[in-house]
Amino acid sequence: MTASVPAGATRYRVGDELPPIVRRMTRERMRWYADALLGTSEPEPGPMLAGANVHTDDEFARGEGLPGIISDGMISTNWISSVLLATFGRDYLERGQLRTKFIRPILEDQVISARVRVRSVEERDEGVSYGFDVWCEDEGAHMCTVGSAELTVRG
Amino acid sequence: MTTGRFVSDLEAGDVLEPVTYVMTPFIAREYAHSVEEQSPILQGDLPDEQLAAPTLVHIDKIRLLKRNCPAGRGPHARIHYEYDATHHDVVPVGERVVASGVVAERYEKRGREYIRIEIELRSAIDGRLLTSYRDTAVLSFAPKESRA
Repeated sequence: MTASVPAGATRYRVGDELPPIVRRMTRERMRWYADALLGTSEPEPGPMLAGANVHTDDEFARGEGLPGIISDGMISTNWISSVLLATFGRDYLERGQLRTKFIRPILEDQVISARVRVRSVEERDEGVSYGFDVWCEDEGAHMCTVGSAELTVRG
Repeated sequence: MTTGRFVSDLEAGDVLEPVTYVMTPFIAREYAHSVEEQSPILQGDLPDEQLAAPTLVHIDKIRLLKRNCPAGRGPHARIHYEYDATHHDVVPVGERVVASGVVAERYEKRGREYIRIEIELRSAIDGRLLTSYRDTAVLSFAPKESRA
């Protein structure tokens, strides 16, 4: 059991968990990322409708050995990133580190919880350095995305 | 210059031709929208500052692959396996940036081929390192023996 830390608290302890993000991985959410990936990677803004791929087309995904469309791993990574940003703001953006590994495909309609728990706290000259365990799990508590994060809150 | 026709052609040691671009308000905002990130500093809702999400470095990989492998992914869909980014500084909207990358490793594990690309995002103005990123992807989800 982990403690729940209110937003705005300035000091966290090992075992504290930040407020999670819980969302259903809908087909639309997969499409939004696939389209943005296309639209933001071109030299100029243009058409933003991704073609058939493992995130947008069930038949295509099954042809690649998957059960159907799967979420881009960057969606769950971004939900974890949002948890860190909501709590630590600029300290996360300026001096953060985030690692995620996608160990189980996230399928359509799974309810996903993006979670961040404090693993270490270290007082340093420049501030307080935190280490975190980060993960996304489905409604059955199966880990889908696992990883870690670090950042320093300047004193 | 292109490094490989397909992404699946890339080999360890390949140096990707860098991509230089301006981080526009549209890019930062659209990416944040796509993952429902409502932070005002990413959405451009603050009067004097807008920053890019650090996870946007994933798009730099896509830019580099489009530039260096114009024929696309290869015979199978590439599936992202690992994201590992270190933020050295914020990425402000309006900044001219350059993304560079090198194929660090290509290896096989349990019948699947993996490729790891190491990417740096720097200011194109003063060379300051903004983000360093290690991206690992599976070149085919289905193991080799099941494709035979």
